[in-house]
Amino acid sequence: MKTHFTSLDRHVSCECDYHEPDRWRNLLAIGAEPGLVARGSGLSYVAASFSEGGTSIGMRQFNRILALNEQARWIEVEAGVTLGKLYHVLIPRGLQLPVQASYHTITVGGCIAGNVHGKNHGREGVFGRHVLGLELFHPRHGVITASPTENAELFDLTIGGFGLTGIILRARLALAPLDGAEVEEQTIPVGSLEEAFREVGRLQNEVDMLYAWLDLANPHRPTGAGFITIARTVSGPPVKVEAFGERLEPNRPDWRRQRVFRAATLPWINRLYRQMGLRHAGPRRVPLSALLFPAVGKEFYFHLFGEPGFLEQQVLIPSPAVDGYIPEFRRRLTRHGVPVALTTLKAFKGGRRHLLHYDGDGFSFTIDVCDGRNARALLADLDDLNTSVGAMTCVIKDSRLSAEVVRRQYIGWGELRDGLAAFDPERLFGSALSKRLEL
Amino acid sequence: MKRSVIIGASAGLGRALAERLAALGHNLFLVASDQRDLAPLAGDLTIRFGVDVTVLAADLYRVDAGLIRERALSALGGVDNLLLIAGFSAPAIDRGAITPEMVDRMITINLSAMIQVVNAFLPELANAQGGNLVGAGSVAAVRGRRSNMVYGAAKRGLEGYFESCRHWLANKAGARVQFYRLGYLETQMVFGQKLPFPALHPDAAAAAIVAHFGQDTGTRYLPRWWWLVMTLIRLIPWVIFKRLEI
Repeated sequence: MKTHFTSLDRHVSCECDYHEPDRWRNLLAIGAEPGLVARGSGLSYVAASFSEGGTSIGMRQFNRILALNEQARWIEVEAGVTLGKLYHVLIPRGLQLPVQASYHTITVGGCIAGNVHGKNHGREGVFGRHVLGLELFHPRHGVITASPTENAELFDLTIGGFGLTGIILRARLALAPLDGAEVEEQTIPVGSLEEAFREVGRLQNEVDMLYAWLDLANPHRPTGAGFITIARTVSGPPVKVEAFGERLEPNRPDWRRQRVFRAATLPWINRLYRQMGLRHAGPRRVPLSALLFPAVGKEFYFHLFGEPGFLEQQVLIPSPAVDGYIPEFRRRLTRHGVPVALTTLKAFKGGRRHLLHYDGDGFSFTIDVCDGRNARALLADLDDLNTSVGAMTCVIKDSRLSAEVVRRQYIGWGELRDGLAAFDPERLFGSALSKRLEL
Repeated sequence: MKRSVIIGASAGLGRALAERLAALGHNLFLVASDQRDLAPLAGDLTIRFGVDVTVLAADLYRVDAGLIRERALSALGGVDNLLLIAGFSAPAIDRGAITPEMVDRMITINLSAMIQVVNAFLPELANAQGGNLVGAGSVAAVRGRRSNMVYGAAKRGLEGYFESCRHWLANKAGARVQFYRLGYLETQMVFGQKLPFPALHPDAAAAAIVAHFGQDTGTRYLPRWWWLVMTLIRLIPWVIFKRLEI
């Protein structure tokens, strides 16, 4: 059926054909049409699961858990299974996925295609590191099994391949032991961007999870004061696992989608949020899900940008470049006068630069801004800064990132494009994202 | 632990019922046409709910009801609930003359195969105190019209058979009979169609069906408001009804 899909940041909207098979025979009968792409929960910030005139294949019905080996610590699932469903199955058994994206309805297929990162990159790396094997469907090739030892090249292209090698059907994932389903959380104040980078770098090896929230809402005084949230898993018996409520749904009209974030309001909102974070500094016990899925219960945040939506830029800054990056970042922010609605910081450690993977050593620095002319000018300006310091911009977070910038920031762009062309000369699979990045 | 057999369990309402009953701790025997759908569902329910799930891939067009009963009894040791959810329609062509093979397929899957299966389990159902016999009909069968001609006829026949079953079981300490005239469900059958009335999610339909377990409700609409719609449609005088494209 003809359907309009909108990216989570509301930057891209397309009309495409949408099919949601509920039986294997229907899924495997999909024809070789150009513009095919699988779609999980449709929560990618960018248009990774649809394109204008393309065909999106919804995988929500293929959401079953196929096998679980608690001793060997692996689980085999269909690609449409959500992180929330796995959370409910694994936590009571004292197990968890080592890497989790930030929302409970995100699917395993989406995590593989985006090779997402979690809350402790230094310890667990990216999602793809824990994929032991997978099954893929391509109308020209049929069903293919791939793993690090079987069809290894295809496996490599599929991890973080944005769904461009075919439809991920199933995957076997490694699991990690869980000490308890609660965490002890604490917030630590920081007075500036410099201090935040320094403290996040210092604390990254001492805690289980770590991220910083920083206030850059006033572009003319962008100190970056805020707080660092640190968390340690608390040992003890498994607790009752809570149910999740609301589902993020960017495609439905929603009266709550009203623009509240503006230059006049954001400094006040951020100041209030900072005070709330510091007032409840803890330490306090919270369910593990509150840290794994921080967007749960905060869905309203996305509504507050209104219909125009927002733009996110998430960059991985090499550690040696940080000292030079911060003042230059501040200077450009002030010059464009763009208030930042959300600023977060995490530490990355031990990853490798490969294809278009958002992985490596350094600091993951994220800003959300209201979409608009000034915001785009700022982000374009920051593209130059990021490239000049050797930073990488996360391609699945930024809807306006150009192929040119990606080519300059990622040494693996050509390798991914050539690998895809070699596997699928017709390039049947594609999305608005892959078109923009010229993959 | 309750034991339930679901015919047509691989997708839609059948799958939703399997999930709901597994969550309630029922051991299950699931029948559908494709092992590729059944095996993942069995794995999922076993892992999540710790129940025993046995599956049988069977083509209802060539049904062997004796085999289904034999395998179900072997797996479950008895049957408390029998739910017949499977169905087959071809709304795009079921308007006027269709091939004899298609007529046969629709009558077989929607009516005669269902009767064969219920008939095979009648000895168990007669003694299944607290058990249930559940059938899935359709609002399409309430008043004959030029679309879904064979499908509607088959479902109306099935409704008649369930009425007989209810009467047969009425004086026995056996299963209760519930037959549902289903309205639109959010399944592949209606996916992408513009519908005149809202479709019910299979999970909600399954919840309603399980909530009525143990009740001697006979035939009822699901959702209930379809009663009003179909009553109005039945009241439309023939001189008007014959002109309607519904």
